[in-house]
Amino acid sequence: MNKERIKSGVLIILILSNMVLAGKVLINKKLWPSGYNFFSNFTHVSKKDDTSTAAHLAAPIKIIVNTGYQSSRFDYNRSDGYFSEICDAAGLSFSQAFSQGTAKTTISADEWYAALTAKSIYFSYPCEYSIQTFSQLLGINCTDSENIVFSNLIISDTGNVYVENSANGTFFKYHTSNADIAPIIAGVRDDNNNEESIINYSFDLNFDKTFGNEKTLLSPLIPVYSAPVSAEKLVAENPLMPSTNEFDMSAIEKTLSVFSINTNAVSRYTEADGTLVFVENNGILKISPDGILDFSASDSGIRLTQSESSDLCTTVTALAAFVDEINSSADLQKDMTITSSLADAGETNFSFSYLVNGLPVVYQNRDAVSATVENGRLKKYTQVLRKYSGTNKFSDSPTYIDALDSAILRYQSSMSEIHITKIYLSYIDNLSIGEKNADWYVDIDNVVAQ
Amino acid sequence: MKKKLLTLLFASMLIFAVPCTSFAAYGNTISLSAQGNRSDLIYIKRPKSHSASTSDKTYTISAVGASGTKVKVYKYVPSDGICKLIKSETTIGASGLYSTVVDLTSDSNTFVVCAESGSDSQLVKIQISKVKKSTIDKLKNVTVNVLNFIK
Repeated sequence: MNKERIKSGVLIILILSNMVLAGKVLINKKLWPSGYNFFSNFTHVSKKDDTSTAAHLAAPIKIIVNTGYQSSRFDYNRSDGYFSEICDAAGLSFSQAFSQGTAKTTISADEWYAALTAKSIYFSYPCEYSIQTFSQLLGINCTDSENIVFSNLIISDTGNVYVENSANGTFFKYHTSNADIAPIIAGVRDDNNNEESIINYSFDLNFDKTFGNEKTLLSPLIPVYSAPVSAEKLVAENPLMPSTNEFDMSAIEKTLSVFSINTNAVSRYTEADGTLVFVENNGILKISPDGILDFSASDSGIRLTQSESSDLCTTVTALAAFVDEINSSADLQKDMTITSSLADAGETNFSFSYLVNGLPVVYQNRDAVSATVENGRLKKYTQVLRKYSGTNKFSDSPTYIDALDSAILRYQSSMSEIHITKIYLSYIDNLSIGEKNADWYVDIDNVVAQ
Repeated sequence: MKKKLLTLLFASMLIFAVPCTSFAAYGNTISLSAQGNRSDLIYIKRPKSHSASTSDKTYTISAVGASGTKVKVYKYVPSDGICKLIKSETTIGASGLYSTVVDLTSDSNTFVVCAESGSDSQLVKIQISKVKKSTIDKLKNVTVNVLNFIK
């Protein structure tokens, strides 16, 4: 009897160890059909939950998968499942390109555009990066010392990395290889086999070149959507003022603690318009009834980094962590993206936008967060205090060209030429509380007056 | 007297009707040989040479024109020998930009872009050929090889 039990025990152990080892081999060697990774669903769930601003400082705002056909280009943002998988695969290419002394060649603009019409993945970033800061944010030890500034990258299906250097208008190709890119492109195409998604780049339609008396010039990489885009309607709320004219003091106290303001020692008063003002030795913090938080340091400022001579990557990462802390303590919208340039190592002013369903929220004449950091210390900080929730109701955006027409109509009488740098779907918030529809935001760079 | 009145009535109707027919907007069908009286109402940006080859199921035509210009697109139907309206009238707005997606149902597709402004009109024929993806790739390779040879 005893012998039988031992035999059974050994058998169970053998079966279990077989399963563990087989599982290990399966995961490590990726023994599943190419283009299909059934573990990716689990990693997506865990990564989708990670909405911290600090973790997404080098994340694109939009990814377009070019399958080689103009009628089947598919765009993804941070709320989509494929986004993390593509970013992970791209990280390998960027690491090879920027850290291993990989050969790079200068290419023509035509070759850059050809890469977009072939099978490739286009990464559009919310701001400009220097190649060194971008690498550092991704944990890559950059070996390329050239002054390269970019906000657009392409990876071809074979893994070559294409960079548009906006510092001097040149284009580079890093001769890297990545076997993970082609299966992603094939996977995207197969997943959307029955769907037609017609996205033309502005250069496809020659909208980046003017002819005769034509007034409108679009940047070449602006994606032009052929059909209206559907997006969920949102409801905005100010969590620090859940009901009219009544601040949530416990939430405010939590927020004050992030600014190292002691609620017991602070001097407090209310201005005529209802703005709460907190005055302490280290600065003044105001919270207005329409949900604008404004902090000005009166001394050296709040220390964000350990060293006063921290580099740009350390400074912006510390600031993003500070923003995350405020969002968490005040129960604000957690998903944010950087919008200010990270091209200059001496940058001191930073801005961030909220992201909802992967789309940025745009305010008139202000950013969701704007901050000044000098020598690792926070000197000024302004934030629109908002939380957005989905309504499960969807609306179609206006057509692309209609949105462009409306934006240009305002300047039409006085302009001879207008340059459009960006057009993107966003939630435009006029700071009122209530429902918000997605609409096209048109970023005009230059209006040449008549 | 009655005859004279009737003649006068017909004559006056004819006087008013003649200009109306020349100003009339194009309807649901037009002849492939129809021609407008202007050549500067609209400028076709894609395809620039008014003809192109693609392996896609659709093609995006783009153009620019003055604000207020009305644009329609017709497709030539060889079996009927006429062009039928496939994209109804769109008025060009402040941007001056126009784009539309047309389906490529056969290997050779002829479209007519019709631009109208008041009594003026312009008709532009566009030829889009559908080819296999492999053919396009071969053509691209030939171009690259020729370029390498030149270098």
